[in-house]
Amino acid sequence: MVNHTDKKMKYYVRLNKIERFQHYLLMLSIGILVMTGFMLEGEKIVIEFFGGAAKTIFYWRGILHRIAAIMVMCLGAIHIYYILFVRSGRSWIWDMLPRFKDAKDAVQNLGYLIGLRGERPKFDRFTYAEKLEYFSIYIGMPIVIVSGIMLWTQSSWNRFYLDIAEAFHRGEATLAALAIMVWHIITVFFKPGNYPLNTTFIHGMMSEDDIKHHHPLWYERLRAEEEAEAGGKKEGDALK
Amino acid sequence: MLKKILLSFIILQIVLFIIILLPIFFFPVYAEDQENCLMCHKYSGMGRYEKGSEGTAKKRVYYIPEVIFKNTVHGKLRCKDCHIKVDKIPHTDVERVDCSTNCHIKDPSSGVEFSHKRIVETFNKSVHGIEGTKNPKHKNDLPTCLSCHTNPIISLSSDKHLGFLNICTQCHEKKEWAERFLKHQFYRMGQRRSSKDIVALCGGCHENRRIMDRHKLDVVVGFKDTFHGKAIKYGFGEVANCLSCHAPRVLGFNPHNILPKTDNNSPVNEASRLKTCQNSGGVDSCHPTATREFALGMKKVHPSGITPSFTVEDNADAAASGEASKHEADDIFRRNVIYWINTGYKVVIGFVVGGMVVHQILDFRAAARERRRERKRGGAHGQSH
Amino acid sequence: MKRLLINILMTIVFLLHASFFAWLIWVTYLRPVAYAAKMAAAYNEEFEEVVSASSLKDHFHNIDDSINIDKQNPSPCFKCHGTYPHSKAKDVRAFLNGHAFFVACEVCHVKREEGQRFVYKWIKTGTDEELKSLEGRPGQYSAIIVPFKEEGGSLKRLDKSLTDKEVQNYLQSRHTITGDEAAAAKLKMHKGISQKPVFCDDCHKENGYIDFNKLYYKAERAQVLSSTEVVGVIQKYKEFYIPTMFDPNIMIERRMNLENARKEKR
Repeated sequence: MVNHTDKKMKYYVRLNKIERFQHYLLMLSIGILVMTGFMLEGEKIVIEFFGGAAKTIFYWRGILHRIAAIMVMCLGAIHIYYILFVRSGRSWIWDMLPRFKDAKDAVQNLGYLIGLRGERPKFDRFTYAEKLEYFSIYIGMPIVIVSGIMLWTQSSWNRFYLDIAEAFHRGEATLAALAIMVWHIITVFFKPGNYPLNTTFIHGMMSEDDIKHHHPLWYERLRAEEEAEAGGKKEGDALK
Repeated sequence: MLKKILLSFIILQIVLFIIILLPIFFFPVYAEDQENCLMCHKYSGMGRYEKGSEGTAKKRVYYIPEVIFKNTVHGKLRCKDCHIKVDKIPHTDVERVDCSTNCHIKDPSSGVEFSHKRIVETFNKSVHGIEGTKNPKHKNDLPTCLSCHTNPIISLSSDKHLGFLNICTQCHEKKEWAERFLKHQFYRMGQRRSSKDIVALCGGCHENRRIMDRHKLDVVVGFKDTFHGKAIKYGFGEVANCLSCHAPRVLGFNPHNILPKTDNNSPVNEASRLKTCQNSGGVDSCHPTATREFALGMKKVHPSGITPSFTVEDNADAAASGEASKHEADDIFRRNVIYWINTGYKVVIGFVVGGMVVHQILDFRAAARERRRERKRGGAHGQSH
Repeated sequence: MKRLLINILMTIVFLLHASFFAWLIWVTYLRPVAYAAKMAAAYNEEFEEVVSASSLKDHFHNIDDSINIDKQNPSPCFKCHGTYPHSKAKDVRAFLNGHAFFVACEVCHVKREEGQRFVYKWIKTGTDEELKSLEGRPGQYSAIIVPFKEEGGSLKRLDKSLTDKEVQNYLQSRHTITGDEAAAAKLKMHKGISQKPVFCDDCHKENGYIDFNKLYYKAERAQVLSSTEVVGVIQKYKEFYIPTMFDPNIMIERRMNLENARKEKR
């Protein structure tokens, strides 16, 4: 496990406090939403196992799902505010924006993975995989939120549109749940180097070695910044 | 000849007289069994096989578990209140029990003999009844009283309620009577069948494709895929079950006067479906703010999703007017839209998640390879983990 | 040690996620929609069980479990003749079947010489234990009346048991042997069974075969059992059918009919 108090190793901030808070909120709300949502598809045997308590479970299922939905909507608003009006947020979205290099990276990386190339392309702060994951939320979240609100306020809608909303809600939720599990959770827990857990989301730090290895371009930028800062400091000292 | 008949008649009379009168002296315990049917029917082995269809047999049980039966809803009745005409032993003159028979119990509201006659008449006119059915040819498929009604033991959901008994007995002397009446009151006030049981009960016939085909009806299996169906699966009774929409109390319906959906008075007919969805006015108001679009956006609320094995030409409702068939087509289009959204998602999920799985496997292998290389090189990166 | 714990924990994490993943795939792609599962069964209702107990669950008279005597302690005869063995004498078959629950078949169907008397005892079903008093409701004492024959000072039980060799042999091989063999085996098995069963009023009369007082009935009840009440009813129905099971020819013919019927059904 990465120990960020390791004195020999140098650490850089990967996720700041606000970002970590947002991640925690997302984790909690998505977890609740997925569990309470897919309970509707619950297998009969499992439900029968709970006997009379199933009724109560179902009642709280709906309430919890709605509470988590409000949480996730608030989170969306917080995040939009963050990337628009907070300095670190603006830097985040700037580094996150898809560029032509990402397409190139993807092709080159795939080539490397299937053995056509000798080494990985050099990634910046966010790899193409992380960007894909991030922006898929921008597609999925509006669909789920809009259809969810429609289902919540069902009485005012045409039954046909409600059925459409239900189909989209279920489909998008399935896609998101499966993608998060395969793409994100498995990586965080089981990717060689991360096992048993990549703890960056807890303390926000990433080791110099990891950055050098996984995000070499970002590392160069960080070094340059550091040197500039140090240089500035020196200049300042010299001026004194 | 005549003499012989007369003689056997007299013997029969004497035998019956003996059977009915004698036990009164011998069986003080069974005083309630005034007809002394239990002299024989108390034996659990009383019964026989009845020939069913080829090679099968039905068990006919003639045994009455007295102690249990006495405590059932009908436990106060005499056997012959229902089993009329059973005068001979052995009972060669038995007829099927008819629930619309008058029984000896007096209805306290009118003072006349009680009977289920009115409700039976209503039922007969309903879509499930012999007069109301659209398909009298297959009258054996129609439900009878006993298809839905059992003779449950009269009991209280909570013993707490027995506390009220003290209030009753302040004026009513007979405690046993008061207790029965009290139990009756509380029993009738609660929901007697859970939503789950109601769905299972109706489904007994309406999920049976063989029966539904005979009556040119859609098999009702789509209900279990609706939100209502899923909530009921959890035993959550606040959502609509079959009867909530097909026999809503607020609109003056009960399970005995269900009408076909083509009937203008039917609660699921387009004319009144909005009111049914709203179901406001009762204690169990459902979607009070529902709009017309909400109620009628889809013609079929719980489509089975299977093509009925009877043809559209057969379907008199669809063929009756162009309007109806246009509506039908509209509904099919709408169902297709839903189908294609679902299918689209299935394809997208397949490609996206499948691609992710492949990418992950390759990436993990590459990462492991890199780590091995680093370790061999003794690089700081490999060691740090 | 710490590493082992972490590995176990991570295995659990992985299995949880993998199973949820697999379940979601199952729900999305593979799970049969409610109707598909139903439809598979819908056309299969044609086969009616020979005796369907489920139909009794909601019986109007709230039948209790005491009718399932065949499940508790079956008489070996029930194996072939059913729990309601009497069917021919239409007038009285239900009465006779009623007796079969608390009277060993041999009480009526055993061979006896003219006027021969047996000893009758309440024997707890499935045991050799004699009941010494009657408690509970009539016909439901968890015991049956069994005839005993006095032989040289000791009493010999006359009823068949599932452990009897002939019975076991027949029950094991009955579906494989030929009609002739079956007839022979049946003859052997039914040795000691009378072609002429006793009639109701052979017991239900004063000084009949059975002394009800010795069977622990209360005096007044015993009197009823041997009095005009019962006898009055039964005297009218003296026409009994002699069972055909001892006639090999009839049995072979019947068996062939049954097999033909089965073939046609297929």
